[in-house]
Amino acid sequence: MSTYRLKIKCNNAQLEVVAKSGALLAYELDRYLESFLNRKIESMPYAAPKKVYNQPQAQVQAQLPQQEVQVQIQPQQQEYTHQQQNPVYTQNTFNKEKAEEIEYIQHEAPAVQQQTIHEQYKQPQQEAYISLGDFLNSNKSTDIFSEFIISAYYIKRILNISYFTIKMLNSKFYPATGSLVDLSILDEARTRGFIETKEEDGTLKYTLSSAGESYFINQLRG
Amino acid sequence: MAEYVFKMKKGEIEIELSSDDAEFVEQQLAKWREEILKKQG
Repeated sequence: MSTYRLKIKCNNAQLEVVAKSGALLAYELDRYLESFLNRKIESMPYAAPKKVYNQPQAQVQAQLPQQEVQVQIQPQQQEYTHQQQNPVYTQNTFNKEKAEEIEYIQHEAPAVQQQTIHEQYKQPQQEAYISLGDFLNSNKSTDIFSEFIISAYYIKRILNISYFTIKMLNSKFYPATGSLVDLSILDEARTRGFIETKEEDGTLKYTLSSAGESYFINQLRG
Repeated sequence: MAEYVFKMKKGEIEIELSSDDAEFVEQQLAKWREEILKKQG
């Protein structure tokens, strides 16, 4: 028998719905669809992470509709108040050594000794990477082909993902450009030697070749 | 048995649907995609 699982995470709260019926879970999912799509984004996805995580759980629960099926509420494990000088730990379960380690990374990360061309777009440790949209805007993306090459470079050098599928690429490409990469673009890039392919578990995967990286650096880099 | 995961994130809310029923996940994904495109259009 199939199992259906729905997880809703919001701030410090996590709701988990487990059902043996797909229809029941679909009903629950539909209830979130409209409010999810119309929801105003309160924090940008690339903003620096908040350092205070002490919002009361009851307040978060009040924002979500009541569940009619089995619901498990899991408390946030990393709930703590972060202060630069004197860290205060609000939960005994939180590992103090871990907190000190986080503090060390956040405040005493060593300076980058030498930046290569590939690393110059990266943000310091513990901060979000540049978004694909910003990366496209900061380079010479004149048409969908150049956008594709820039995106392939972004995936390889900024996200450090060696190979990507067309589905993975489009999951980032579509929100950033409003367009989808199709096989004609991949074929053109392959014909020009800008991408290499390999087959893994029956799925075709792509990576930007050395020629593709040179093309980006010489022609498209902003 | 394979498990299929469909995750959506917007702001601070994150919805994750997972199931080993590929057809169900595909249907839900298509429905969400349709609604998103409708909203953008």
